[in-house]
Amino acid sequence: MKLGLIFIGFFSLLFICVPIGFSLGIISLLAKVIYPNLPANAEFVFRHMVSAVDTYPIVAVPLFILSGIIMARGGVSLKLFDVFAYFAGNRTGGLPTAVTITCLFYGAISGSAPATTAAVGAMTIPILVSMGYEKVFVTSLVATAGSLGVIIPPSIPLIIYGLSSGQSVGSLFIAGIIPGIVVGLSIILVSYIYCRLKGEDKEKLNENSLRLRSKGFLNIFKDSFWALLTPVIILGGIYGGIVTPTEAANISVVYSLIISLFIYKSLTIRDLPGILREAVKITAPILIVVSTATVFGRVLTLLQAPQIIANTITAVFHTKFSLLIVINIFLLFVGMIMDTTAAILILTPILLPVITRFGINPIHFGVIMVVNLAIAFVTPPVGLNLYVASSISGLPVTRIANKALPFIGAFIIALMLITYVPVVSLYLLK
Amino acid sequence: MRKILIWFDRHIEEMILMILLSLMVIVVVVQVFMRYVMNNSLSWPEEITRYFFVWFTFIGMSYCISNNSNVKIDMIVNALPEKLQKVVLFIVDVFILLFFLYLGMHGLSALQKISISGQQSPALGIPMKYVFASLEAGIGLGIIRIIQSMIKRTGLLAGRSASNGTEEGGTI
Repeated sequence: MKLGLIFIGFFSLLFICVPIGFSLGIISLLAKVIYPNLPANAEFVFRHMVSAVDTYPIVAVPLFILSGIIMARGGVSLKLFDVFAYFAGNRTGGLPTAVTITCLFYGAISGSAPATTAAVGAMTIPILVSMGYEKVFVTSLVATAGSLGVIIPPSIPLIIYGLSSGQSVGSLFIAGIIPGIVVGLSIILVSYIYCRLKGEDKEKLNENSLRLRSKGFLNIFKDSFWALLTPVIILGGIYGGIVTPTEAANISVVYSLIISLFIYKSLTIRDLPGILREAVKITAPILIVVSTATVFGRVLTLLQAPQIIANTITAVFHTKFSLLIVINIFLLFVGMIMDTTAAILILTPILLPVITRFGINPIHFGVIMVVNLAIAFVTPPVGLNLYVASSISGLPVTRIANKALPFIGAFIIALMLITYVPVVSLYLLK
Repeated sequence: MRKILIWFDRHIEEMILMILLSLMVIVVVVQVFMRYVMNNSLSWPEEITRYFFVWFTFIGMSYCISNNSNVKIDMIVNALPEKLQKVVLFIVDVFILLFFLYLGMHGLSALQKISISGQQSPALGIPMKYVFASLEAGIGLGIIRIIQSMIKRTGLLAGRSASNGTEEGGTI
């Protein structure tokens, strides 16, 4: 089958380490060789590579990356953590819970999972270790909870999915809120059980909680107020329909600059070139993939590949239930070996006709896809969160991955809930 | 002179990208300000931001080759013996070079057609050839970068240490 030839060619290129962006470009050009009648010639590829990135919503990607870096360098994650640590006090599992909630809030500032892991992990791992928690436990907790960065809006994968599926990015963002909280709760539950079984160093916890309480809640709150307000502004703006996601991204850049330059004074103007440089370094590799993956998607559509694949799948699976199971397993597997952006851009045009045929809401499906790929951030071999967490804590990736297994289990249970109960994602949209 | 050339070699794409990103931020700030403070929705900021972004993407393509930060699956290649690894990575460079040459050639004729059609952007009247030229420019820079990479891999510049080990790719 000729279509199979295209995919075999694509995977051969990938596995000999041709960058994903170029593999997609090369295979889009080669499709014409396999199908001589295909209207997608080299000029078509050229024009569509440009028009693929000539869209406004995607501008939110570099902007959210930029604001995430500003917040991280400005030390916002620590300010958030202080508030939740205050409430946690000396309760069982209190501080690990505070870490997860910090990730939830930080996820509402950052659109990226590794960035959330880095920002929250760098600040909280040393604190929790000094409170007597096992380092590998804390590290695996942060690595898993960091994935909330891409589920809680803003989310770069959700922007990419919106782009590829033609769904509104604003609606996708809103749909991500409750699933993010559900995943957060499942992680909190696991860490609570762990602390209950393992016990904690109550003496140190009491000391810490007394120290925070002596500061007085108002002082801590005053210090964290501007950090806590960030998600309110971003989510409120989008949820209230006041701003588009791109504008919200920009507001968050300006807002984070103002609070770190003038209020917290944790940054100076001289830090800005370094921040821009880092944003460029993180953004550039994503964009070429967006460009060529979109072209590849158009080529596949011209070949009617999505219909052919949809027909094959519907011939084998007859119920929504079994289809979703298979898609979930497939997505988890793909997420393990492939970059998130590329996976979304390649799979969305293929899977969208299938799921609409089964009556699954495309917004709900976007959330399912992103939660799946979020889990893949904590699974080897290419789970980026693991590598980030490993570089922060100095622990080997495999140890963190092993310790993260119970968290991943809880994550998967939350995924099942999100998959089979659409209202979890769609409730806020009504 | 030599110093300037070395600086250009290391930082030219990075510099352009940093400027483009700053421009995007500034233009969107202007737009948000005009819309919410002055109550005046402008149509040109969105358009110009998109075109900055298009240029960002394709200059970024060359940038990623120069600092070896493209997203790739290197598990299998990393498992190969070192000599074989080098051969495979050289072949990958050849593939990318051929891709650039073929696409660039046809890109030129596409660009010519767009130029003749005189197509302009709706809000600002920018000739569309300047938008599509971004990919051609990215390919041009990319060809230089990929040839540099091939020279390094074959060890022709043996004096400089081969510091092109696999760096972590995009972190998103």
